[in-house]
Amino acid sequence: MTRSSNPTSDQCPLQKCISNRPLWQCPTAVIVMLSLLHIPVLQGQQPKVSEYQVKATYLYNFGRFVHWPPNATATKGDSFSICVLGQDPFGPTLDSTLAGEMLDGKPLAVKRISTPRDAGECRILFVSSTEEHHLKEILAAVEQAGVLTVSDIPGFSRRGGMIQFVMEGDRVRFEINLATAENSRLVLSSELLKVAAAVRRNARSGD
Amino acid sequence: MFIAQKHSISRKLTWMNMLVSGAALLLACAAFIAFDMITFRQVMLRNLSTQAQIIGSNSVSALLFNDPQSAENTLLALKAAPNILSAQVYLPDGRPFASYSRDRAPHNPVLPPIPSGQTETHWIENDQIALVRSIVLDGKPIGAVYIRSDLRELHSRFQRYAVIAGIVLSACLLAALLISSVFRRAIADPIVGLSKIAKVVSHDKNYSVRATPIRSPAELAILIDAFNEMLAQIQQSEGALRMAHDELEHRVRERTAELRQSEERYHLLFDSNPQPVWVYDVKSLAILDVNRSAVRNYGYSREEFLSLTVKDIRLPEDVPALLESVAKASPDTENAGIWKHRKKDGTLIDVEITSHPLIYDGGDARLVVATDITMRRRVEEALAKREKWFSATLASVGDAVIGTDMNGVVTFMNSVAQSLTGWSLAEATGKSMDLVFNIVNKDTRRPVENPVKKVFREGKAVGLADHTLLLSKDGKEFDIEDSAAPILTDSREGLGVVLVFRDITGKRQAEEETKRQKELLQLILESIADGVVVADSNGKFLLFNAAAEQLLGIGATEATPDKWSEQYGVYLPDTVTPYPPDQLPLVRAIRGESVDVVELFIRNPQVPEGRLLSINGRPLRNENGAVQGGVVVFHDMTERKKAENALRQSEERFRLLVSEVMDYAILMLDPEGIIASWNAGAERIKGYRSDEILGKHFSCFYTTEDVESGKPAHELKVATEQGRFEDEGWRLRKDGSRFWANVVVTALRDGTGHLRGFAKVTRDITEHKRTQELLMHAKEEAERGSKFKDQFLSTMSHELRTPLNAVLGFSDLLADERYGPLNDRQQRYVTHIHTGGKHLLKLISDILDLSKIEAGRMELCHEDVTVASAFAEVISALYPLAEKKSQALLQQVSANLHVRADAMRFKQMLMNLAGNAIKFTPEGGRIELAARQVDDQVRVEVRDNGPGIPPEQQQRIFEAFFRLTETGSATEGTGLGLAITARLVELHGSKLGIESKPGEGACFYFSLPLIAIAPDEPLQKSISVSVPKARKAPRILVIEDNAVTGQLIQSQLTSSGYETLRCAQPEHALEMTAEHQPDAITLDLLMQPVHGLEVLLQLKNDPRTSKIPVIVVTVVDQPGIGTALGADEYLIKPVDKVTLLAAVERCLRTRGGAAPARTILVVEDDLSTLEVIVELLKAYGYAVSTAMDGEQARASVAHSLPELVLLDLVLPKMSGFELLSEWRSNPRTADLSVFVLTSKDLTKEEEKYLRAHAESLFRKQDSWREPLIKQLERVVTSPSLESA
Repeated sequence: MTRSSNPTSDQCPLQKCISNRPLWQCPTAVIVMLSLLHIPVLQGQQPKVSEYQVKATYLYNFGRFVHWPPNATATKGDSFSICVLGQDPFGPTLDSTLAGEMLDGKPLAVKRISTPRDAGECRILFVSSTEEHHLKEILAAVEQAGVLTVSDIPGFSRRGGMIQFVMEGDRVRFEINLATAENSRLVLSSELLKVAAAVRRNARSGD
Repeated sequence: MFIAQKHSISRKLTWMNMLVSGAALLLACAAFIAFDMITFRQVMLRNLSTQAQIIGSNSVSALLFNDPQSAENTLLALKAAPNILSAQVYLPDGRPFASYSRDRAPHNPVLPPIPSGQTETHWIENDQIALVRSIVLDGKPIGAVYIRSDLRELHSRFQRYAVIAGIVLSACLLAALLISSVFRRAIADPIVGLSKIAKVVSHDKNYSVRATPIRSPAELAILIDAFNEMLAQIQQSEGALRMAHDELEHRVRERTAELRQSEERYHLLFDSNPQPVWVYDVKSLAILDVNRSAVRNYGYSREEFLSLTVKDIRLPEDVPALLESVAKASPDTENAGIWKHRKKDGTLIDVEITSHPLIYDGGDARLVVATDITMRRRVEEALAKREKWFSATLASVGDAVIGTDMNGVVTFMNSVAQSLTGWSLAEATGKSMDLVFNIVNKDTRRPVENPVKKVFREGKAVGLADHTLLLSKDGKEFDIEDSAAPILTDSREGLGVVLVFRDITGKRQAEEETKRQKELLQLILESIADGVVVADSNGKFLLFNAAAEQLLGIGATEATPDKWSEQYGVYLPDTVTPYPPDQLPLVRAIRGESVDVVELFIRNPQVPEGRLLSINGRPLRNENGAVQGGVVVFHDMTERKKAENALRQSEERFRLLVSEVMDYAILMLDPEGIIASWNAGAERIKGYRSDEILGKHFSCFYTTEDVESGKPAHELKVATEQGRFEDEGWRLRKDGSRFWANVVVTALRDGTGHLRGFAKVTRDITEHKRTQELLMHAKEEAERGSKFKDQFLSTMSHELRTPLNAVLGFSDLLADERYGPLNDRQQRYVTHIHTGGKHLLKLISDILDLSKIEAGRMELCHEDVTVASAFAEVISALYPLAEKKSQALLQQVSANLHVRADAMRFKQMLMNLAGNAIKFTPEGGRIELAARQVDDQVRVEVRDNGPGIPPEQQQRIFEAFFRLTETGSATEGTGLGLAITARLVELHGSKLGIESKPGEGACFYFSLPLIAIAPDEPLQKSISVSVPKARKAPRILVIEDNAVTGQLIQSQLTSSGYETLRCAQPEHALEMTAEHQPDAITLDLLMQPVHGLEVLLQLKNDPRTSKIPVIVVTVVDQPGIGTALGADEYLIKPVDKVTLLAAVERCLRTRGGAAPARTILVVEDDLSTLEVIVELLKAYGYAVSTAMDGEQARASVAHSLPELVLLDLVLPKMSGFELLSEWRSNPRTADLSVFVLTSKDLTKEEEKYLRAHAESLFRKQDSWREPLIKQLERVVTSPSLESA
C-alpha cells in the first residue's frame, strides 16, 4: 500500500511529483521517460496517429473478436494472414503495427494480393477502395471461405461486406453486416457488436 | 483501591464480580466487532475488485475500438451498487476514456499509478475506498478501471453492532449482579460474624466468648476454629501472668527487710571505728554524719558536729586547698594528706586525712578518716634536725667521707667524696661500695681490695697502702690516701663502715715534673740541628750534643782549650788562617764574655770540604754570678751562604735584563707614583732618558684629558686594591706624539704586605691595534657578504620558483583538457612545457641546495630514521621510472635497522643515487638498494649492473655539472645530483664512495651511525609514524555485470585507497547496497536481466539507499536521463582513472555535506600562481576567495571567517608569518585552519614554527597539487562526514 498516503486529488500527479519530490520517485514521469528511450512499455492509440494506422490496428483487433469455423479454408494456413486486395493504402504501417504479434495461436502475416483467388487462406481481407468496381466478384469469391471482409469503400456493408470503416469526424468507426458474417459461418463477438457504429442484421438491405 | 478501603466485604465482592464480567464482555464484544469490520472491509474490497474486473473485461472492445460510449454504458451498470460513488475507465496513457458518477457530476480524476508487477491497487481516504485495476489484454495493459466507493455500509454495520453489544452488556451485568448477591453471602456472613466477636474481645477483654462454628469444611471454618483456639490460649496465658506477678511482689518485700538489717550493721561498724570518721557533702561541705571517736577527739557533741561544715575544723589558710581537692573529685580513694585541725577547745592537732568519695542520700559526699599524728610529727622533726647538723659537719670537712651499712652499700657521701668519685649522693645511695669507690694499684693498675671489706674482716680501722688510684665515674684518676673504720653501736654491734680519703695527686705530680723536665732538656739538646757545647771553667766538656758532633765532625775530646783550634781544624772565615785559640767563642765564654754571631770555618779530616759555622757563646754563672763555665751554640752557614750568593747573582742578571729589554718599558714607581727606575725599552718607547725622567710623576705619560679625569691615580688605586691593573689606551711620548699602549701596573709589597711601590710595564701596540682593526673590518665585511648571499639565495628560490609554478600549473591544467580538448600537437607541446618546467625547477632546487651546502647554510635535523621505511618510500617514488625501462628495483635491508640522519636528506641522497642508477642502466637492468650493519655503522649501498664508470672518471663524477662522456646529452638530469649527494653524505660525517669496473655496473656506498634500539621498539614506532590515524577508507560498490570491466573499475579505485565491492547481479543490487551501505556506487546501464536505470530507480526509491551517491558508468551517451533519474555523476565509457576518481571524490564530498558553506581564502601575491590555485580549487568544487597581500588577507578574515586559508609566506605589506601569529593569538581565529604553500627556503626554526602553527605545509618546489587536494578533503569535509 505504498500509495495509500498519496492523496489523489484533481491535481495532476506528474505536476505534483515534479513540484514535491525528486523526479525519479515519480513513476508516471518514469514511464514517460522510458518511452522516450524507445523502450516499448504500452501500445496504445496516440492522438496524432494517422487514419490508416488506426485502421491497421483495428484490422488486428477484429481478429480477437471473431470466431472462425474450425473447417473454414481461412484457418488452414500456418499463419494468421491479413490480406490487402488492391492498392495498399496502409503503406508500411500495417507491417510495423502487426509485426511480431500473434492471434489465435498463430503468428500474424501480411499479404498483399491482387486477385480474390488468392484470398482463400486469408482470415481477414481488406478490400482497397481501388477494387470498388469488382466488389461483387470479390465478395462472391470469398463468401464460402470464411474470410472476414473489411473495407472503407462507402456502402461496403450494405453491399455484402462484413465490416466497413466509417469516419465520424476524426474518429474511425465501423459498421457491421452481421447477416453476411453469419452467412460465412463467422461468429462475431457481442463485444464487437457493442462498439460498432451500426449493425445490419439483414444480408443486403436496400440492394 | 478506594473501593477496597471504604466498603464492606460483601460490597467489595459484588464490585469485583461486576467488574470482571463487565471487562470480559467488553473485550469479547470489541474483538468480535473489530474482526468483523476487518473481514467486512476485505469483502467490500473483493466486491469492488470483482466489479472493476467485470467492467474492465467489458470495456476491452470499447478501448480497442475507441468507443467511449460503449464503455460508459458498461459503467452505467454500476448504478445497481449504491455504494459506488464514481468509476472511470482510462487509456493506458492516463487519459480518461469513459466515466460514471453517482451524483452525475463530471468527475475525471487522473489515473493514479499501479505499482509495477501488480494489476490492482487500492487505498482508503476521506472515508472512501478507491481501487484501480489495469485492463490487460494478452499480457499488455490496454487501459485501467478506477472505482471509488463510500464506506456507508461499513459504518451502518458498525452502528448495528455497537447497539447489540450495548444490550448484551447490560443484560449480562444484571444477571451477574443477581448471581453474585446470592453467592457472596456464603463467604461474607461468617467473616462479618467473626469480626463482631473480635470487636467484643478487644473492647471488653472478655476472652471467654467463642464464634459459632460453621459446618462448611472450607477455609472459613478453619479460620473460625483457629480463632476460637487462639482465644482459649490467650485466656490461659493471662492466668499464668497474674500468678507470676504475685510471686514477684513477695520477693521484693523479703529483700527490703534484708537490706534494712545490713544497713544497721554497717552503721555500728562506722560508729565503733577508733579513728574519727565523718561524712560531708561535697557541695555544701556540711558534715552529714560523724562517729563516736570523732566526737570524743574533737570535743564537739554529735549534734554540734552535724551543724558544722568541714571548713570549721580546718585552719582558714587550708580552706582553698580543701576546696581544690573537693573540686578534683577523683573517684578513687584519695589520700588528702596531712593537715592541721582545730578542736572545739581551740588546740591544733596534726591529722592524716584519708578521703573516699561516696553517694550519701543521693548526693555526692566524702567519707573522711582522720588519724591524729601530732606526736609522730614532733619526733620526726627532731630527728631531721640532727641529721642536717651532722651532714653539714661532714660536708665542711676537707677530706672525702663515705658511709656504708653492714652490707657495704653506700648510705652517705659528703660533697668532697661526691666530686672525687664522680657519683652524686642520690646516684650512689644504695649502690655497692666497690662500684662507687673504684680503686686500683697505681703501677700494676690491678684492683686493690676495698678497705671496707678489710674493715669487715678485721673489725678494726685500717689504712691504705700508697700508690692507690681512685678511678672516678667520669674517667678521672686521683692519687689517694685513705682510712676506713667500723661504725659500732654502744653494744659494739657493727652498723657500717666510714671511709675517709684525700686526694694527694698534686704532691706526686710536682716530683714527677722535675724529673721529666730534665729528660726533656736532654732530648731537645739531642734533637736540635744547632750544635750545643758546654764546658766548665777548666775547659772540660760537660755537654756535647749530637748536632755539635756532626757539625764539627769530631765529638768531645780531652784536649785542652788551647789545642781546640788545631784539634777541630778551626779557621777564620777566609778558610785558610787558623783561628787564634784564645779567641775561640767557647774560650771567650768561659772567660765570661758574651759572643754574638761569630763566623768561623771548620775543616778537618772528618769535614774535608770545610764548613762555615755561625756561633753564639755565653758564660754560665752560678747563683752568685761567678762564672762556672761557658756554652756555645752554632749552626751551619755553608748552604745559606751559597743561596745568598746565588740570589745576588740572579738579581744582578734580572736587573741587567730589565734594563736591556727594548720591547717593553719597565719602570718602578714608588707608592706615590714617582718614577724610581727606567729601562732601555722605556727610553726607546717613550723617548725620555733615565736621568730626565727619574723622580718625576708618571702622569706625564698620559694625555691631558686622561690626567684631568684622574686616570693615573685611578690606575694606582685599582692596582693597590686588586694587585694588578691592565689597560689599553693612548699614551704620550716625550715629543708629544701618541702611541697605543698596553699597560700593566702591578703593586709591589714587602713580606709584611706593606705597599712598596708599583711595577709598570708598557708595550707599544699601535701596529698591532691597526692590524686588529683591519681584521675586524674585514670580518664585518665578510659577514655582510654572507648575509647578502643568504638573502640572495632565499630571494632567488622564491623569485625563480614563482613563475615556474605558474608555468607548471597552467600546463597541467591545459593537459588535463579541463578547458577544452587539445589536438595531438598541442598536447605534445604542453607536455614539453611541463617537462621543461619540471626540469628547470629541479635544476633550481639542486643549485640552491648545492649553494646552501657550499655556503655552510645546510642545516641537518638529525633523528632516528628507519632505513627500511626510507627505502620503501624511495622505491615507491622511483618505481614508475624503473618500470618504464623494465628494470628490477630491489631492496635488501633488515626491518629494524636504524640510523642517525636527517630523514629528508637521507631520502634525497637515496633518491639521487637510485635515480642515477635507473638513468644510466640500460633497459632490463637491475638496481638494488642495500643496507647492512658494519660495526657501529650502517653501510648503505646503491648498486646497479649498468655500464659502470671508467676509473679515470671516478674521481670527477662528484663535481658539479659533470657528466659521463659516453652518455652524451641523451640523458636528462641536472648533473648536480651526485655533487649534492656527495656533499650531503659529507655533512652526515661520512664519505660517498664508489666501486665500479666498466661493464660490470657501479656501486655507490656511504656509512651512517647505527642507532641501537631494543628489538620490539622500532616496529611500533615505524608503524605509528608511517600510518597516521587514517579515516576508514570509503567503500564503493561497483554494480557491473561484466567481470572484466568490473575488475578494471575496482582496481582503479582500490589503487587510490578505496575499499570496493562488486555486484555482478543487478537484480540483487538493491539488497546488496542496503546491506553494505557503501559510500558511493558506480552503476553500469546495459545489464542483464535488469536495466541499470531500473536499478537506479530502485536505489533512489528505497529510503535505505536513496542517499547514497550513484555514478553511472556507461557507453550510453544520454547523461540527461541519468541525471534526471537521480544519478549524481554520469560518465561515458571508456573512463580513465583520473575522471573516475574525480567523480567519486566529488560524490563523497557532496555526500559529506554539499559544497562547503564557507570559502577557502587563497592568499598569494603572484597573480599567475593565484590563478593556478584558484582554478585547481574550483575544479574540485571549492568556493574560493582571494587576497593579494597580507593586509587584504587580514581584512578578509576579520570580515568573515573562511573555512580555510591557503597562505603564501612572502607577501607585500605583511608577511605570512605575521598573519599567522596574529591569527593564532586571537581567540576568534585561533582554530582557523591554515595551509601554508610557499616557495621560500625555510630555516629549521621557521619550519618548526609552521609545523606548530599551521595545519599543513606545502612547498611549491615539490609537487603540491595532489597532496593539497587530499589534505583539503580531509580538513574541509571531515566535520560533515562525522555528522553524516
